[in-house]
Amino acid sequence: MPRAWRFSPTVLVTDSAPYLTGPADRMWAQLAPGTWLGTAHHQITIFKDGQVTLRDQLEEGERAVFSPDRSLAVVLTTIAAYHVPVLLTAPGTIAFRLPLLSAEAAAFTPDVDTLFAAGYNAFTPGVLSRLVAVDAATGAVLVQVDSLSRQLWDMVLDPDAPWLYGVEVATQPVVAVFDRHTLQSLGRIRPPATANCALLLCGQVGLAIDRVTRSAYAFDVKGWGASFDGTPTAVFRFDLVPASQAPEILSPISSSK
Amino acid sequence: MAVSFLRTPAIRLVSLSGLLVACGRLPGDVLPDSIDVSVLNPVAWPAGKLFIVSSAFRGRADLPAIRLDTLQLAVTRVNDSTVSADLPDTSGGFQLRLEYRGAERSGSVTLVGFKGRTETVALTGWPIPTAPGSPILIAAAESNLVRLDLAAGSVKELPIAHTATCAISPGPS
Repeated sequence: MPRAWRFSPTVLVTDSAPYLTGPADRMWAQLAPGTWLGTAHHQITIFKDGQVTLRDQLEEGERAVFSPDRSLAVVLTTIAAYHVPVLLTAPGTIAFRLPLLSAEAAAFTPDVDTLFAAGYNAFTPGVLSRLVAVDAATGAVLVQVDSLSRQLWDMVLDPDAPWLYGVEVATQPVVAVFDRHTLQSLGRIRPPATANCALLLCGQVGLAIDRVTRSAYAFDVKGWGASFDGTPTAVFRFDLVPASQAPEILSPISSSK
Repeated sequence: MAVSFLRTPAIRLVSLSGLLVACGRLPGDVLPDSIDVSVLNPVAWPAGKLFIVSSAFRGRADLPAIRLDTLQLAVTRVNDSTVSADLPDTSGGFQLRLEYRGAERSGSVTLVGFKGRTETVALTGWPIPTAPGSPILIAAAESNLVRLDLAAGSVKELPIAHTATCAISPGPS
């Protein structure tokens, strides 16, 4: 019998309601009071007051990203055959679908007016990853860039500057920086060649920032599915550009030419 | 005839001096020290752009030569008073040299970068940030949930059982 874990930093776990009997080997999440989300290998299922309100084909839904007001949620997925749904948490229904067939990273603006997401829109060789910003109320595409050479595995908005950070992975995490309004690349921060993920294989790499110290943290969780139990989680720290800075006047050193 | 004419050393010197004067910069065209040249983002992203602004660029088509230590950067005009330079995909502190209209300016540029790699407790599944993008996470260790502070490097065990054989990731609520 599957069980749903419900927790917060100050609330102990409580077992799920007895109606949560569907298969969910990836994640259970409470979308809203009375509304639960279960994700399994190939699908998501939403229960509202004991009734199934939604089943959708969605592979490996291991994370849910909520809007700050918790009205919307995106389940991150390796493949969503009918495009990635954005969920209305209270009724447990679909608000709209993103123009993506996968989504491994998503972030809402604090006022929930924009949703950023990255993934693929086709699974054919040579197709690059897509980064998109949509109107969080309607799903209308605001900006779209189809030229990411690498998939982003997590993304975070800078609370103090108009920048969007994403993390790319290969044998080490690389922080990619984008202009939030144009989604154009502003730069990238990479570790030295000697600083790699454990086992020379990055697992599930998340991203976080500390706005006080202007630092970014990429963390490599290796033990998914109990495949690499006991492997320590590697944490990579990077400096960020200050949210604001004073121009530097260059010093004259010669006028003899 | 012209070849033999230039073979005479004195005449050759006079002729070349004339060429040098013709190719040289007129005194009024040299960038005076009183005109500021500023870097807008002296702390910058690797593989990003450096933006340099000066009234000296106005009304002119030529571009400054910009070096970061010994590396010559590709320079592009942004607008009437601003140019940008493509930065290398590396990090650290660098000396900036700018040459323009017979003058040279210098400054320093920092490209932000990697600060270190540490290891923390073995985790499973996807951690959940306590706020969007927060470095404080609730994560699943192998038999219980933990509160992980990436900035402080601290791990606090929570009295909440978890096993990856039940669900890979902890679920938010």
